[in-house]
Amino acid sequence: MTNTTGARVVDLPRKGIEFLLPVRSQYSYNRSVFENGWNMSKQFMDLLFGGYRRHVLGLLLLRPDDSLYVRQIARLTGVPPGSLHRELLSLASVGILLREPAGNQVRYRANREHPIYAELAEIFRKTSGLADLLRDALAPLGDLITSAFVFGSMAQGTAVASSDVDVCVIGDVTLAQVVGALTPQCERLGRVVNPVVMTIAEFRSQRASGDRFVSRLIKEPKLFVIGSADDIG
Amino acid sequence: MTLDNLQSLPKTIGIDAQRVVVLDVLRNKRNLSDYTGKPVDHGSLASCMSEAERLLEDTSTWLALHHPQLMPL
Repeated sequence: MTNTTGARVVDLPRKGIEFLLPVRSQYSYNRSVFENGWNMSKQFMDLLFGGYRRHVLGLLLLRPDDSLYVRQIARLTGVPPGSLHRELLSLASVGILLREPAGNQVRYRANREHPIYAELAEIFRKTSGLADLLRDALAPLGDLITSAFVFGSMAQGTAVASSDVDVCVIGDVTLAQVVGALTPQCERLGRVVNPVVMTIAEFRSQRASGDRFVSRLIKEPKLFVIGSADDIG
Repeated sequence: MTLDNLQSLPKTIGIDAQRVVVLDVLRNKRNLSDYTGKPVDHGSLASCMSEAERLLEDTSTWLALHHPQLMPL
């Protein structure tokens, strides 16, 4: 199935009455949205959500089960406290964030009950919340990497609080290099990163031999961080 | 924070902290495979074995140097 730009769109199967409910996994995944340039999604998000708002939403929508103190949000996003307080109050006033007073401090969390929570979280997962974060973290290894993508529950939109971020990196890099690049991001993600590393030759030979792991990888939804499905074709 | 055997390796036998991070990632893979039954990829398995061998070697070297009486005969 292709859309008007010729990009292939993969429709995830709808089961039972789930399509009537605001289920997170119900979306079309367009594999080529951000393949035209490393910064395209950043420019796009800057246009939609100016500066600080993007950082705040990117952090909180990605970990909706965590209620964070303003001080923690300031540290993890680098937004100065004054602006941060204003931003958080505005976002809470329209209901996308929940404000939770705790003693003499205040905590904020994403509001899963908001009518467009699922869609907004999806936008941030594909852009500055997750994809850009991983892309920036992998940038020092840039030329060595053919392709990198998120798979598993974070790519399917079915992640729960304890879900890892499964990241597959295909290129001439070692597991230790990838772990070194990605581990510093765990705190901001609020999740453990589980990297899988292989060369393009290993990927191709394992695909050809019907390896269980790689076959599964090919079938699952993927969120491309570097490269596109064409690079691993 | 409590230190388990793995995390305390830089303090005990003085291995590089970055290697412990890699060992932690590998341990997490073992746990995921145990709990979810999902297959592990060949690269992770190979890394797991080579890291384990390297750690065994380093531990033996350290033991021989600091506590030779504890070395297996």
